[in-house]
Amino acid sequence: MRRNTLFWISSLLGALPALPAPAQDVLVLRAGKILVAPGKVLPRGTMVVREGKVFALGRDLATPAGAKELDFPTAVVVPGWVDSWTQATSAGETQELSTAWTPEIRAADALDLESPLWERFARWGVTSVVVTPDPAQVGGGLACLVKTGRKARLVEKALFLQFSLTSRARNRERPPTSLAGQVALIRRNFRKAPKEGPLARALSGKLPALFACRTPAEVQAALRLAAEFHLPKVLLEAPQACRPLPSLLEGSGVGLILTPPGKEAPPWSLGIPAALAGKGLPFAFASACPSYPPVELRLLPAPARRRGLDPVRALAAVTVTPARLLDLSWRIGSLRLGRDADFLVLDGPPAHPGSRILSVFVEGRPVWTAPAGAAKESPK
Amino acid sequence: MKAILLSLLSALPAAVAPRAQVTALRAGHLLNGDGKVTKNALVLISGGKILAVKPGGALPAGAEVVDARDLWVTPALVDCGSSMGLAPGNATEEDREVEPAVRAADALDLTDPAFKRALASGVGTICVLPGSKDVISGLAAIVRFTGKDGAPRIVNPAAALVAAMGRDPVAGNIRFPSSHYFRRPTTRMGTVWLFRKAFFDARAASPDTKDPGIRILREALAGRLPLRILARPEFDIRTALNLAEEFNLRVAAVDEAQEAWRVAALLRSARVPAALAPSTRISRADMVKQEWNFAARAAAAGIPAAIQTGRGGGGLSLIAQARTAYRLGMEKGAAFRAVTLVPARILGMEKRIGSLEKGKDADLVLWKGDPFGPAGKVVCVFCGGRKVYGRTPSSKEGSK
Repeated sequence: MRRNTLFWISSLLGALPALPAPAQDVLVLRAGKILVAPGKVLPRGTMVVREGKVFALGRDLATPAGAKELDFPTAVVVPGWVDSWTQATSAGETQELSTAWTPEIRAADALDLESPLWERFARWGVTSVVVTPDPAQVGGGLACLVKTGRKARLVEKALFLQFSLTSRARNRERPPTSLAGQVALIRRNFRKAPKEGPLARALSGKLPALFACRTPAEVQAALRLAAEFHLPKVLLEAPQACRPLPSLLEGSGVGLILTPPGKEAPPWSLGIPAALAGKGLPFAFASACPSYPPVELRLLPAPARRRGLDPVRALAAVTVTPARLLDLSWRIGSLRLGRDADFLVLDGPPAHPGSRILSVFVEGRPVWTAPAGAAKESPK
Repeated sequence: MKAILLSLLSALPAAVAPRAQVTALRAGHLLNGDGKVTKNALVLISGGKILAVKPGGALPAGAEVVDARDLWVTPALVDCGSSMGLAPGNATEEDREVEPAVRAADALDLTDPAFKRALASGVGTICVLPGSKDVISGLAAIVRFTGKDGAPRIVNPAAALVAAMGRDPVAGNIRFPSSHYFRRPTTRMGTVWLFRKAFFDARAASPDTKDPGIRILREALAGRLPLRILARPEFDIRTALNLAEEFNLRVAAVDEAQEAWRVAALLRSARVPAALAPSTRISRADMVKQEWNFAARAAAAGIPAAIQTGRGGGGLSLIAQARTAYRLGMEKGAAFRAVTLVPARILGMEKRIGSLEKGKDADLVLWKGDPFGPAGKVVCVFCGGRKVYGRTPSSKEGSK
């Protein structure tokens, strides 16, 4: 309802560009190509951004008086990338090791918005970052969403509830010590879940439940739990180096967030995204920051593309798919009308790892611009 | 009118029967779950079940014929204790010493290649036990190859409650209460004390308790859930049986009972089978007396003895373990019963699997050569009448 209303209002207003509207906070962007969403290209397009939202899209829209205008005649404008699973905040602050069951803790409470990390994300083309608690707690806590740039902003405090079945959440210092114990703990707490709060919302599907997994056994445990408790909205975070992912997820209706395969990943792991795409399974790439060495989100789809992942899917996996999996497609992931004007200006095809980022905008404001010498083309 | 109707009705099953696809398997040698060999047997299968096992005879009209006249046919093997699909070192929940609500099924990786290997060696049913580092370590799961394309599937996530006597739940525990790592038990006395306390508490708890662990213990007290108790030396077996008697518990088997033959009379009178550890892995732990042919001696003493691949995995296949026991002196029939009918009874599935008899599931294996011979090799495996591994030798339509 909300999306439709926004769409109609903005398209109505967009049809009347000549109206002498107050033009403060209006940006008119002309580009060689505007990629509204993966697979949907507007050649020689104009995008009008008003109050941080995409206000109108079209060809040769007039510039209202007083509006700022930018022209990139040969560049490509694409939606800002979404990094859907990170612990990007002060080291250690998201690891609550004292107890295994903490569904009420929020990554939002450990954020350091002054960190230089957020500007680095922007430089790499990432405009939205999901920060989750460290998967060191079984009943992990709530993830949040941050818009990047030098002035990073927390925009969503409860994005999903994370559970961890990984080996990080089991150790001998604190129960549980085994995967079966983790599942037993989750089951015990699901059965006696309070009527309100994040756990109740996850069980009723108002909040997605994300299971962090590393091994095939953990993925299967998560899928069995999801089936046992009829969890309506389930996400899975698993590394690319988890071989049976495509066959395990087939027909499960579970959204997948793929984290980097790791330094010593076997070569077949690079073919996993193409195998998932081949079965029509939705997946998003995520950097799992802070990983060492730091992983640039835009470089994750490139090896997968060499193994047969098509460019539209590769781009979708860092834009629309994560937005859809996180129930945020009304806001981020594409440049459709009414969405946040988070976008990058590239000097080449968006899925090509060699394309350079010229500028990054978050909600219509430039958060990063390439140094003048580095860019082939600068805005006129 | 009535007569016509009646005759029509009575004619109906006869008209329908030939349409239900019958597979006739002509077996050169049939080695059944009781250990007996029949030459030139005929096994009739329909709807995943065995219709009849005959010592030869005419082929039924319209049946699909599988010609295994140069092969050996046996029931699919049953592995009543393994840790297949459980990550090593991650099989026991060591939070507390009594963990009835922890299920091996929850940590199972059904994509573990060990399952494929087991199937390729003729195993059709596997019981996965949680580890032995707890006094009561949780629930065992039963896996059968009845999934899509013969994939392993959990058919029972709560097959038995698993407990352990002896050194296993004690090993590695720190006996100083001042230590951060302090954990009971540290002696056999402590193990038994914890076992008894768990069942005393369960008995004393209110019947409508919500505690999942206590509910499971109460199931066991009510005789609805059998126990599997790890007990290697003679005195641990005695302890296990004493505890079972004290709480009136149903013991499906004493596991890895290497010294079962020393307490044969006791096991026989308690009607408790022994699930023996592989002969290739003789445990020196638990003060067990070294005895290579313990399986043979247990069988000779009249104890129903099963052979399992055991916790830890990585060893020989189940049929290779049976062969080893045979070569160490176990009678051939007993060695085959130990991997078919006896483990089926231990799992409470003797009405469905473990031998080829009328009404049981059509779980069978075709072998090239005697399964106990050095060149015995699996040709194909059927589970519930469906071929799940290998290639059917040759099939042709019978005469119509």
